[in-house]
Amino acid sequence: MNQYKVKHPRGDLSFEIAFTKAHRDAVRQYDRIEQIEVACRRAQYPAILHPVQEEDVLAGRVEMGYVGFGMEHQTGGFGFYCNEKKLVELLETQAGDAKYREDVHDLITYWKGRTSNHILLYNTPPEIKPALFSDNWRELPLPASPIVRISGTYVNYDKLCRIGLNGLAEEIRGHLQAAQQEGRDTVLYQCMLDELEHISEVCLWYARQVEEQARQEGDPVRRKKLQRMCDALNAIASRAPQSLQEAAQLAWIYTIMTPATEFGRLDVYLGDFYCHDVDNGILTEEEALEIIQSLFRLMDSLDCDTTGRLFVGGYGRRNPENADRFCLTAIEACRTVREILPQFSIRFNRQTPKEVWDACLNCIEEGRTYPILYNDDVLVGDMQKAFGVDRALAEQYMPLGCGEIEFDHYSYGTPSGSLNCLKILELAIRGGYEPMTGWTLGGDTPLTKLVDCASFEEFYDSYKRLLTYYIRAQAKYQKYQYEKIGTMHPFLEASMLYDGCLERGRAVFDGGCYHYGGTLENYGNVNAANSLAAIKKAVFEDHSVTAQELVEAMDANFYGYERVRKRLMDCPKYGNDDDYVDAIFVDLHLFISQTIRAQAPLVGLDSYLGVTINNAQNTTLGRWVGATPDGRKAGMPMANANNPAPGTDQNGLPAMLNSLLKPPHDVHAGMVQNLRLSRETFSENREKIHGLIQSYFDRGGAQLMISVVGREDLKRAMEHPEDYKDLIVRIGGLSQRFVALNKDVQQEIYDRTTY
Amino acid sequence: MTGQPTETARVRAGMIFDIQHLAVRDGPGIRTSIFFKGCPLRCIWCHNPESYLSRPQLSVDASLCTGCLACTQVCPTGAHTAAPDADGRMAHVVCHDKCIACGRCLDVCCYDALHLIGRRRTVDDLLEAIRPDLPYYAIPDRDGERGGVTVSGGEPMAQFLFLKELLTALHERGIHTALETCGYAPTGDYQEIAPLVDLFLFDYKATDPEEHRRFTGVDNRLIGENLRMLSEAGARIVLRLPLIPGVNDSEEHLAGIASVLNRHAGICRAEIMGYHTLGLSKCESIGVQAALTGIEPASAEQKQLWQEKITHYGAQKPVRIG
Repeated sequence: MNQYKVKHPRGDLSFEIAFTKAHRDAVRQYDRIEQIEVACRRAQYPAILHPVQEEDVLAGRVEMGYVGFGMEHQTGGFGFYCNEKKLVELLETQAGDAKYREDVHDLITYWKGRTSNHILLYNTPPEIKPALFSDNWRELPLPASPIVRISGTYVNYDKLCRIGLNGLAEEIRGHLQAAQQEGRDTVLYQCMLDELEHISEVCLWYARQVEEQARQEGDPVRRKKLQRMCDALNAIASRAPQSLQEAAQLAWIYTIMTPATEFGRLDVYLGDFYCHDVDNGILTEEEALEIIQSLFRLMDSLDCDTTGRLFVGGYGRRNPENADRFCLTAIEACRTVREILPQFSIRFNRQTPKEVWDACLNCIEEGRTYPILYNDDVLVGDMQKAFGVDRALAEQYMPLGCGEIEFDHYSYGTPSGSLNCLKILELAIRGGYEPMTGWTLGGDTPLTKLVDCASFEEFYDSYKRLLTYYIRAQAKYQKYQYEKIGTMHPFLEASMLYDGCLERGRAVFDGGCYHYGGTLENYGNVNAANSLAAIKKAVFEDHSVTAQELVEAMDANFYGYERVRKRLMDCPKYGNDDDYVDAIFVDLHLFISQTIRAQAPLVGLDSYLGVTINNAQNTTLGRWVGATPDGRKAGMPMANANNPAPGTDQNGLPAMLNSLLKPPHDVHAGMVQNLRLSRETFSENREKIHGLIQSYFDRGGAQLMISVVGREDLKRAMEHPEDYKDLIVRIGGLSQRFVALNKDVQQEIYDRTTY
Repeated sequence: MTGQPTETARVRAGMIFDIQHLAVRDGPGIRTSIFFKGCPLRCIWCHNPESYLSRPQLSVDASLCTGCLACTQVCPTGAHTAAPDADGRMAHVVCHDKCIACGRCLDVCCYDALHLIGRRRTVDDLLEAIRPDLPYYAIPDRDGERGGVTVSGGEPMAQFLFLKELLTALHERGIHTALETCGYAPTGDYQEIAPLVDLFLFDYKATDPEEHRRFTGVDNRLIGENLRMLSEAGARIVLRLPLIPGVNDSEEHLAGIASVLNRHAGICRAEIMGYHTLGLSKCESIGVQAALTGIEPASAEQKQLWQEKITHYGAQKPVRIG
């Protein structure tokens, strides 16, 4: 649930009641989904918008309702959504007269069977259901789960800012006329034009508000800013933007009305306006910075922490010089607006100016964790191969959300499913039996229990068959989901600014988009590789643990089997540059990635690729995985993304980075890695750390997210050492893992930085 | 043949107690530090008390011990025993004096509470251990210098033949070498090793010979002589200054540092190594009584003050805070 940052949140459900009425009326009145969407959008905007706040120099604060229309989970919900849980809670706790309560009851019952989420899941084709029988991955031990959603809407901001709403309308009118002449359907185009009109109206609605605020404003400086905002809002309602203020304003209003949570290549679409304004004395550097800072605060106000990406830098920009100048100011805004969002990311390459690179590392050094670093010199070529696209398109690669790669306003790469590789291993060991629930899973996949396997290879093959079973089901689900959504939602704002839709006269999920890509989130693959290494070594090579003993130890969560656990823990672990286990990791990674990739033509997708990304599901999904052969105890978190399992990388940072460099990137759509350094290590050895990072990228590193932690983190690390196993601190002449130090030494280091 | 190893004989293994990857303070660039076990000195402030003895030693992390007493079942010498604690429960008690470091208890401890400090390792073994770090040695630091391997301790010169074998192997592979030394070894050994060492990190602990004996257990004349010899032989030296507030930071010593810096052409700079208390908890885990307690770690201001004073006493070379 997003906590939208607005000064005065709505106190009751009158919006939700009105929206529900609008939907009920619309489905009675119209028989086309485009028209229903327009009617519902009009009920939603500007009703859910909030006034400009004192710190804003751009308009557009939003508070999505508990019922409404969105695109993703992070925009209130997917499609027509209803947060039933919250509504019931409010019904039980909130005051309201009899009529109000009647209306709330009405909307709860009205939406029960009508939300897009429900319709999608309810209609899942029967052949997929045995494998993907639930999406309740939070509470059930699922080996694989569908994720009902759309994500990664990157609209063509550059086009929008260059031609404006009226330019876009003109283009659509052209298509409309052609369609009329050819006798084709015109409803989609008409509804798009209605929506452009609607966006203009919202701009003017804000302009009137801001004008009134300016009139009442006592401070002349602020009054001038409000006047500038008012002028910009009036201007963009009827013509293309001509300044940074206007372009940023238009992009933002369009974002919140799409509603989207990915912000595109900011330096491309704002860079020219920025340089124009600064070079012509229209804005000072400080004023330009203030506009970008305001934009970042508005992005942060959406509270969509796992999305909210924006990019600067990289190949494939039409205006690299202006964009790079803009970059520096944008990085400064990132450094100074110290909020969670936007997820500021840079694509860099050999041509990235040194001052941009240095500014990035300085921002990271301050503990911002941004920019997230993407190496174009590796990724452009690898994405070309992974997706099978040309270089020009590959240069438009864009990681969405947690790092799933797609192409800017060209493709969708929604991760519509997750694969818990460790859970699947746990099932494979027991021949498909799930011990917490007593379920037998895996359909009719032929499985050989570990105790019956004569060799490691026999077991590994059995595990691979079970992985394949779930991967196949997920690919079918992905295809089904896009197709079904195409019949449900035109998503007009996205369709107007996605390549292909206007030309084809089709909405974005109804055949308009050029490239339907899907992604499958992998979790637990590092632990799975460690577990396979332990099985191979301890059971089949050293014979230090029998398969029977191993399964008994897992059943007992290692209670009474401490010696078995020790032997398993002593087996090689990924992250130490140890070829024994790293080779298993790479082999497993390749098998999973290639199997996923092979599904695309079978189910009719343009691409289907694995992603090893980073959110909290390594912890959430880990809760429902029992004890595993890598020595991990039941319920404990799995390793995050491509990083070593907590506490298992004991051979130093260089060795850890070397392990990260081993898996290839030309077979998947995103793999992320975290690196956490102490502030002291970073700032006292700046050149060495910069060199270390550069060396990692020079040797083929694709991506890195660097956290530099300060004093507060040390305090938390003492209270929750399990969360800080990779925190490295300086002691004097040496670096040590903070949590490995005795408590008194930890206290000493913490105290030292106090003064 | 006698039992004595000759110049060309392969010394089988050295006693190593730690390897630090990504060492950024022990010499230029990004380095791997290899710590030799065994030291002829007994500096009262030593932060590596586990490096005193040249034999392996048991280390116990009491905070990880669950009191399962599995170690008491396998210990052949009675170093691990069970005795009633204050509440009358049987608890784990260690007698380090009885331990012969046979390692049997490590096999049965499932909680990672027991470790042996010190392992015999061959040159090939160490070359394999540094392999992951090799690509990072090429990264230049702020002086434009590159990384490599730092041999530290303990006192590496106390395992001279193995040290020489290791440094030779590193040199053959073009890896930059630094040797951290207390300076207390035969002068002839230093002469022999000098061509294999790209940089000496040479400790300078006390100026007055009597004080030196009091703080470290040995006289400083041999050390001074070795420093002079190395400088004259053209070695590149960084003078390392462990400074302990109220112990060895007298005005005379700070002035002495300035004078030594100026006297020897081979010394390129000095580095202040401020006192920290890490050694105290290590003493506890190996059952050794710390010689120096109750001293506060050196503050940033204190280190800066030392730096200013050494410069004030006329040092004509850079003094850095390490």
